Amino acid sequence: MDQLLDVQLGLLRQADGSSLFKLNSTSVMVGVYGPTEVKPAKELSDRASLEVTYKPKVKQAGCREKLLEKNVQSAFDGVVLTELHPRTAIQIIIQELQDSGSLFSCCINGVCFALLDACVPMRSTLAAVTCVVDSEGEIIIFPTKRQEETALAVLNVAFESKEGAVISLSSSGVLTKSKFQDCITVCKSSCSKIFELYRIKMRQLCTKNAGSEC
Amino acid sequence: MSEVANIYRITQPREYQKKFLEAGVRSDGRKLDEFREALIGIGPVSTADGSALVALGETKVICGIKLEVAPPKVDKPRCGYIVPNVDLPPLASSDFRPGPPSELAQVSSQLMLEIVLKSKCVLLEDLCIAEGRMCWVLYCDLICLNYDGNLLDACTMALTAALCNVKLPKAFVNEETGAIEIDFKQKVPLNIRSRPVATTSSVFEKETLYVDPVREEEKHASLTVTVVTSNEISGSTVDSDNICVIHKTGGGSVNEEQIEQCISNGRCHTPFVLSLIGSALTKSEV
Repeated sequence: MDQLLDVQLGLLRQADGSSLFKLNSTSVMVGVYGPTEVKPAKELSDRASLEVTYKPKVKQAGCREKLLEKNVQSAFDGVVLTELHPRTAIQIIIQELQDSGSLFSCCINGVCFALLDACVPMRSTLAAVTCVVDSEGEIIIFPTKRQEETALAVLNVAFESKEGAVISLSSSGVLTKSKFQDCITVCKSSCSKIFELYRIKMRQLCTKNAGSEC
Repeated sequence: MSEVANIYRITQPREYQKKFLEAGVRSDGRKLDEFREALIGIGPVSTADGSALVALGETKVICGIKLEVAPPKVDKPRCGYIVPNVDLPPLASSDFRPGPPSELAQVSSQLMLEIVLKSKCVLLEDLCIAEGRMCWVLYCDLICLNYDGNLLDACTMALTAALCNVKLPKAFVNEETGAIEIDFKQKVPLNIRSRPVATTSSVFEKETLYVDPVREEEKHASLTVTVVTSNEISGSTVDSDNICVIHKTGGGSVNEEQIEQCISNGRCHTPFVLSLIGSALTKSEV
């Protein structure tokens, strides 16, 4: 279960925060602008409005991309302290660089890193895990594109770091209740690696900043 | 309703809902685990190849299915395809504005496609006429006529019922000429292998879990979980133990007991909806 996780922060100079998140072969580039001006139609009087845009590598964005955007927006709506910035917008732009499976978790983790880089206040960090149940009933974490296509069911879960509660959940494919619960348990135990990565990267970023000021 | 209560409902909507939910009831008098009355009518649209009208309380959705013949997609020469489209016109609610499909409409359309494909309601291979040359395309239009919350449950019910109503004209390849002939006078019912049923539950302020939210409750829910059971049909029995799609929206966090509760709500509600669809279909055949 050795996964290659890598992230680079601050690559986009114009954005308030950015991250390049790689999970095995899948990679996404995320830019965050915010809190910034909001269109009157989308303005919320008591909190910031989160606007997520996902740009696929080929073709135009369609309904499938809209569902991904909605899932990301729902997840971070519960985690970002939007009440601190009313009548503003926090824009999150996700650019797909390569989709070789586990795209949803790549996006969530990449967005969380970019929000941290932009110093957007958050309640906790989010760690997302994708798992599949293959035709033999085996649970595989962070599947490849091929494994996702041939699997019986695909499950995307995101956990928050404080209590380990589920913030985002979407599953598709036939599952029995017990299999579904097994998947959740396996996913929960895999997200500690990602939470650890947040701490390592933030420590590096802070020490680098402190060093450059001296 | 008394005037004071009505004023409270308009000026302090969240507190109004909170008062009911904390006491374990809903603002329309239902219990937390009680569903609204559902009505299904099969075949209201005579010009469509399959149609159904669903009323879930005040939420009304009509589904019309049109068949078309088209070349199959290049990467899947042995499959037809299904194109569901959820339309939320301004007539249904003041929340919907005229213009391009809103985010809710697009997300619902995508979820309908996932539900139909993942529950294996219709196998795309069953829609093939001639490999690589011609296949059936099902255009499923779901139009919300009145929106009072719980769109996904109503749409799933309407789509399932309408698909059960679809009859495919007989299509075969002429052995002598090799041409594809379609006989519109001979129709065969579409092979429905499962009947997906969706159940939506919402959570208010982390603790109170209730089913089938209305529009007023949806605005103040911290999260919503939709559980879709697949209900495969084998012979005369229906296997209703499996879940095919689970979708959570809303930023609130949910613990494992609540997820379990949502799944068991789905499983408990499924037999009721299946019998409703079944009796509506039998009535339409008479």
